[in-house]
Amino acid sequence: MISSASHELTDPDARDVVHARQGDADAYARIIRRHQVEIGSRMWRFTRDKMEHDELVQEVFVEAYLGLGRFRGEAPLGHWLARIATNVGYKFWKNRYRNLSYSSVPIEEWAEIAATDPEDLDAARAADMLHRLLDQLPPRDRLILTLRYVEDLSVEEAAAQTGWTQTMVKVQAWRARQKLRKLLEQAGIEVN
Amino acid sequence: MNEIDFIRKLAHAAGRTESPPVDVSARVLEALRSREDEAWAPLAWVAGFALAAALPVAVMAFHVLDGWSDPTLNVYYAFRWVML
Repeated sequence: MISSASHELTDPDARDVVHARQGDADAYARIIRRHQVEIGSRMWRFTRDKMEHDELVQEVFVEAYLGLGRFRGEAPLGHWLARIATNVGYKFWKNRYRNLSYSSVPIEEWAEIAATDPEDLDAARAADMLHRLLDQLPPRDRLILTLRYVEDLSVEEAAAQTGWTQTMVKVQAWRARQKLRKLLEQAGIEVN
Repeated sequence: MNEIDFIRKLAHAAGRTESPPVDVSARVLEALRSREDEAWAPLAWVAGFALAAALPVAVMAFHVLDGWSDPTLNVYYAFRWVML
């Protein structure tokens, strides 16, 4: 009890969570300001549209507030928010995937990417192409590829983010890789 | 190059882009407030219907109670001439 009380005193997140649960809007606003940059950069992987991005970040914090009673404080608040952000982004992809019109990238552009050094690639163009490539995969595959190979999370970390088992993460990642390979082959890229 | 190298290559280059700045605190609090208002709205309707149903009952009850008289008074009125 003493350690949890002193934890609240030293950790601004823990202190503000307690106050926010009691309905203190200022405390929750402080939490948002502390974490919105991190959440913002995470949600930028789910959309390249600024308006949608803003809405997604907002939704993460609304969901987090509604679930604040379930936050047990065993892990840092940032980790808990990241998990909510992953769920919000995944739901967004699932809704979008239903009526998605693919914007395919011309074959010569893929070939050019394959031949260019990563440091020489234009960052904005690379981000756009990555997004369009993954856009062609089902949300589940896209999520696991993003977590494992774009965010470079371990199997354990990806499992914690998605709420899946580690076995599920491995199986899903393997399937997603097969689909990605097929996509690249269809685009005319030689994949080993 | 395999499919993962390809993705990592793009991700590495894409990592140099910055996400747009966000400041959502005011909008989040506003969204939470309007959600709370929405949550109360159905209850307000229920309360309104309950009041509308209770009003005629209350008026009727008042009239019925007003017409009631104490049974002892009835006895008193019946035998008033004896007392007089």
